[in-house]
Amino acid sequence: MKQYIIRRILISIFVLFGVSFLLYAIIRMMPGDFISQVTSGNPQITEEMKENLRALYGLDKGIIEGYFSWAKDAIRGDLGTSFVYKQPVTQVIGDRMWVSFALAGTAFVLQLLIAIPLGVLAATKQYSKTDYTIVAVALAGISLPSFFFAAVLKRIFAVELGWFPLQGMVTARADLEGMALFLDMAWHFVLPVTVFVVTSIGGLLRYTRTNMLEVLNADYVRTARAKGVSEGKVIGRHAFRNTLIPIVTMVGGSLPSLFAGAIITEGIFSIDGLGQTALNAIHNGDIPFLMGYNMFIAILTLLGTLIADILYAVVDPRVRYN
Amino acid sequence: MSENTANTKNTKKERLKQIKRFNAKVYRQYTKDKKRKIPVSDYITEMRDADNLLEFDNLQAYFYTDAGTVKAVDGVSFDIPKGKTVGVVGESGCGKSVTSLSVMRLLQGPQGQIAGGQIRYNQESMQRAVDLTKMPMDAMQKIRGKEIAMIFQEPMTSLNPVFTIGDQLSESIKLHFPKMSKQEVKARCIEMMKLVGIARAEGIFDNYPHELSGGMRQRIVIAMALSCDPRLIIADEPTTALDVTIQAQILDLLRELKDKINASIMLITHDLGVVAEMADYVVIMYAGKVVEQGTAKEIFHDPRHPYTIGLLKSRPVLNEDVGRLYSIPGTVPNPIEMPSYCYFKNRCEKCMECCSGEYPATIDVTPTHKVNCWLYAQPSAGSEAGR
Amino acid sequence: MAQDIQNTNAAEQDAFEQSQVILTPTQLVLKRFFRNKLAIVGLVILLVMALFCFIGPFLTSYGEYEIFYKHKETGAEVMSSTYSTLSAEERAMYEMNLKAPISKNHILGTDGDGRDVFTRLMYGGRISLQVGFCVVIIELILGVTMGGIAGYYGGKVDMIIMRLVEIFYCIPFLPLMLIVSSVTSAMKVAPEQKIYLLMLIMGVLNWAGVARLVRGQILSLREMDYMQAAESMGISVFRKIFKHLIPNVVPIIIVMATMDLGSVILTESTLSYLGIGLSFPYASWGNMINAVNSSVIMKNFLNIWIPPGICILLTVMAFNFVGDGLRDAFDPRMKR
Repeated sequence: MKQYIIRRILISIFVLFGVSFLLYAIIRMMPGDFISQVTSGNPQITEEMKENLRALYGLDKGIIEGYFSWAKDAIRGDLGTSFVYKQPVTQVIGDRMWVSFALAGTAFVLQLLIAIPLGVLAATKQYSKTDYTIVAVALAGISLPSFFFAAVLKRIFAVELGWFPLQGMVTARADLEGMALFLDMAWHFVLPVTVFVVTSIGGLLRYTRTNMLEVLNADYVRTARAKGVSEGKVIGRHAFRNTLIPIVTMVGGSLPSLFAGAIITEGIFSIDGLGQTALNAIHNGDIPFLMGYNMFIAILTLLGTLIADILYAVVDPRVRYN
Repeated sequence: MSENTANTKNTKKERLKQIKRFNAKVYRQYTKDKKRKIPVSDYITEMRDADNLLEFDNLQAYFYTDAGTVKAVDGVSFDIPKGKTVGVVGESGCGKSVTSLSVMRLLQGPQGQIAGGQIRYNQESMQRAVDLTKMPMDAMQKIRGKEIAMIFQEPMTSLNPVFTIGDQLSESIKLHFPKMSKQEVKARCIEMMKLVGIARAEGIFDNYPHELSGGMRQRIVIAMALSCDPRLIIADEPTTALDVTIQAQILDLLRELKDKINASIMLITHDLGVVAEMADYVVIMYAGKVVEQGTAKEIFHDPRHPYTIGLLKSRPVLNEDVGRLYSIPGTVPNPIEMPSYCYFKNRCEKCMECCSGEYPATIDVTPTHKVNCWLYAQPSAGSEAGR
Repeated sequence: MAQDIQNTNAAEQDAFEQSQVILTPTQLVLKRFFRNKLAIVGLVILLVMALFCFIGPFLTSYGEYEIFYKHKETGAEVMSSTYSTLSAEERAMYEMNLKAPISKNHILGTDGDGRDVFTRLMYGGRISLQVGFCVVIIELILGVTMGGIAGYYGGKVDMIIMRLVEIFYCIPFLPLMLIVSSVTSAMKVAPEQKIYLLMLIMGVLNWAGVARLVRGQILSLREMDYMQAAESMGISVFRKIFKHLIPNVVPIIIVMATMDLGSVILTESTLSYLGIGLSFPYASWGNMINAVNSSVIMKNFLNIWIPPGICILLTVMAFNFVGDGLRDAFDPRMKR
C-alpha cells in the first residue's frame, strides 16, 4: 500500500510537470509580447511590473530555459504577485479558497444526502413511475445551464418575491456578529447552493442508480435473500456496501470542485470566492493569478484521484495494492 | 414470395405488440399482488402425505419476456420425503434451477413468476403445512435460511466481497436465533466451519472471500446453508464449478452432513454420476416438465423414458470398450411457446404416430416409478390416467 | 425409416421455429430503446429542434443581424437593409426598435439591440448544434485513436498515453478558456475564426475522457475468454480489430458521444454567456442569455432571456435522455 502511494505520488509529480509545462507553453506560444498586449488596457500596471512579469515567466529566455526558471520559483511557492490584489498569488488563493469551500461544501453534503437515497430508490423500483420521475428530474437538472437557472431563481425569489437577497455574502453595512452573522450568510447562500445542488445532483444520482442496479443482480445479493435477510437489509447492507465502492471513488474525485470555486455561480451571486476572483482576474489581465489558479486546480485534481484511489482500497477489501 | 415475407413481418410485429400488452398486464398484476396483504388462511394447506417434507404439485413458473412467455417450469409434480435425497436431473435450461428458485421464491420479478400450482411445505416447527407459492414475503423470510437453505452454483460470486467470512456466516445465525450471544454465534460459526472440513476456522473467520480458493468458498457456502439446521437443503449444482477432487470431497461432505442433521436434500445436477452416488429418488426433467421419476434403483436399472435411456447411455462407463460415447441427437427446443405434444418427440428414436398428439399422461410403472411417455400407455387407460 | 422420421421431424421443427418470434440483437436494442419513454421524448425534442434551427431560417425574411428601426411618429418599422438606403433626414425620423414587446412581427419581441429574438434563436441553435457536432467529432477522432492504441498495445505505449490523458485531465477547462480568450481578444482575432479556435480547443481538451473509456473497454475485452479463444484460433489482426473489438466498443462510444453532445452545447453556451465563446455579431443561445446581466431586462423583458434558456435546457436534456436510453438499450444485462 505504502509503495503504491509513493508510486502514485511520483507519477502525480510527473503529470504536474506536464500540466505546468503545457500551461506555460500556452502563454509562451502567444506571438509578440503577450504581456504588454494583455496589460495594455490597465493603467494600474506600471512598466516595472511588466518587467517583473517578463522576468517571472522568463520571457527573456528560451522556452525550455524559461520554463525551468519559472518552475524553480513555483516549487518554492512563489507564483508571483497578483496585479489586482497586490498580494502573493498563493496568499490570494489561500484567503478565498475557504469561502468557495463553504459554499461548495454545503452543496456537496446536500447532494450526497439527496442523490444517494434517491438513486437507490430508483434502482430498487426500476421501470416504475418513481424511477422514471427521479431519472427525468436528475437528467433535467444536469441539463440546466447554471447561469440560466441562477437568473431564473434570482428573478423569482429575489426580484419578484424578495425572499432572498439578490447577491453578496452578507448584508452590507449590517455589522452582524456571531450567530446572526452565520444566519445572514446562510440566508445569502440559499440560492447559490440551490443552483449547485440542482445542476450537479444528476451525475451522482445516475451513477448510484446504475451501480445499484448492477449490484442488485449479483449472486451474493441472491445469497443474502436466501439466508432470509429482509429486503430492506438486503438493499441497505449487502447491496449498498458494494454500491458504495464506486461512489466513494467518485466522491474522492470531486475534491477540486470543492475548493476551486465555481466561476459562474460565484460570479452571478457576487460571492467573494476563488471563482469570482478568477473572473475578475480575466477582466484585469491578472496573469500571475490565473497561472497560479490553474496550477492550484491541477494539484487538486491529482490529489483528488490519489485520494479516490486510497479510499478505494479502504472500502474494497479486494483491492490491496502490491 | 415477397408478399409472403411481408406478411410474416407484419404478423411478427403484431405478435410483438400482443406480447407487450400481455406482459404489461402481467407486470401490473404482479406489482399489485406484491402490495396486497395476505391472510394466513390463504397459504395454509394440507400435505398429501405427512411423511413428505415438500410436495410440488403442478408447479408452473413462467418468464414473461419480450419475445413471449417462456414456460421454464410447466406442470412439475414430485415429492421430497423427509430425510431423503432427491436428485433432479436434466440438461441445461430444462427448468431444474427455476424449480429450486421457486421453492425459495427467488425468481427475478417481474419477469419471472410462479404462474400456478402449489409447493406444499410441511412446516413442522409450527405444526402446519403451508403453500410456499402463496406465502407473503415476511413469512417466507423466516423460512429461508432457517428451514430451507440453499447452496448456490457459483462459489466464486455467491459470497459478498466486502464482508468477512465471519460476518456472512454469523448473519443468518444472528437473524434466526436472535437470542444467541455474540460469543455463542461465533462459536457456532467456528463449529460449522469445522463441520465442513475447514481446518483453520478461527483464522479464516476474519478473511475476505477473495482470499479463499473456490473449494474453500464452496465449503463456506455450505456451512452457511447448514448453520441454522435446515430441514431441507437445496443444492443447485454444488460441485459444477469445482475441480474433480474437490467435487468428491464436497459430495462426501454433503452426504455425511445430511445424516448428521437429518435433513432432506434436493440435489440439482446434470451429472448422473453424482446422482447415482447421492440420491434416494431421482427426477428427470426435460424442457420444463418431469418426464420420469422413481427411486434411484428404478431409474438406473429400469429406465423407461427414451430420454432417460439416452441420458444413461451417454454416460462414460469404466472398463467398457465403447467406440464413441452416445449422444442424444438434436437440441432442446426453443422454450418460447412450446407445442402441446411431447417435447422430446423430435429427438426421440422411438417416436410414434400418437406422439404428435397431446402431451402423454403420467403412467405409474410402480407406486414410486412414474413416466410420461406414449410407449407405456395402456390402450384402455387413455389420456385420463395419471393425475 | 428412422431417417425418414428424423427428416419430417426436422421439417416440422422448422415450421414451428418460424412461427416463433425471434429477435436479432439489433432488434432487441431498438426494442429496448423505444420502450424507454424518456428516450422517445428526447428524440422528438431533438427532431423539432433540428427542424427549427436548420429549416426555420429559410422560412423567415429576417436575417441574423438584422436591426429594426421604428418611425418615431407612425411607429412603422423598417429593417436595417431598408434603413441604410434612406436619406439622412429620413433616418432622423427613425429610432432603433429596442426591446419591442411580443407582436405579430416579432414573435418573441426584439432584444436590447433591436434584433428579432425569434430569428436569433434559430441561428443561435444552428451554431450551437454545429459546434456540438464538430467538437464531438474532434474528440472522438482523437480519443478513439489514442484510447484504442493504448488499450490494444498496452505496455509502454499505454503508459505514455495514459500519462498524457492525466495531464489533459488536470487542465481546468474554464480557467484555461478564460486565458485563451483574453489572449485572442488582445490579439484581435476575428469572431469567425474564433469559432474554429473554440471548437478545436474544446475538442482537444475533451479527448482524454473518450480515450480513457475506450482504453478501459478494450483492455477488458482483451481479457474476455472469447477474445482469447479468437486469438488462439489465429485470426488476423485486422479481423480481430474490426470483427471483435470495434463492434464491442461502438455502443459505449455512441452513448458517450450522445451525452457529450449535450455537455458540449452546455459548455459552449456557458462560454458564450461569459462573453468568451461565440461573440457579437453571432447569435448563440448563451450570449443571448447574457442580456440578463442588465437588471432591467432581467426584471421586465423575460421574452429576451427565457426562450434561449429553455432551448438550451430542452436540447441538452434531449441528448441526455437519448444517451441514457441508448445506454440502457445497449446493455444486455438490462432485462425485459
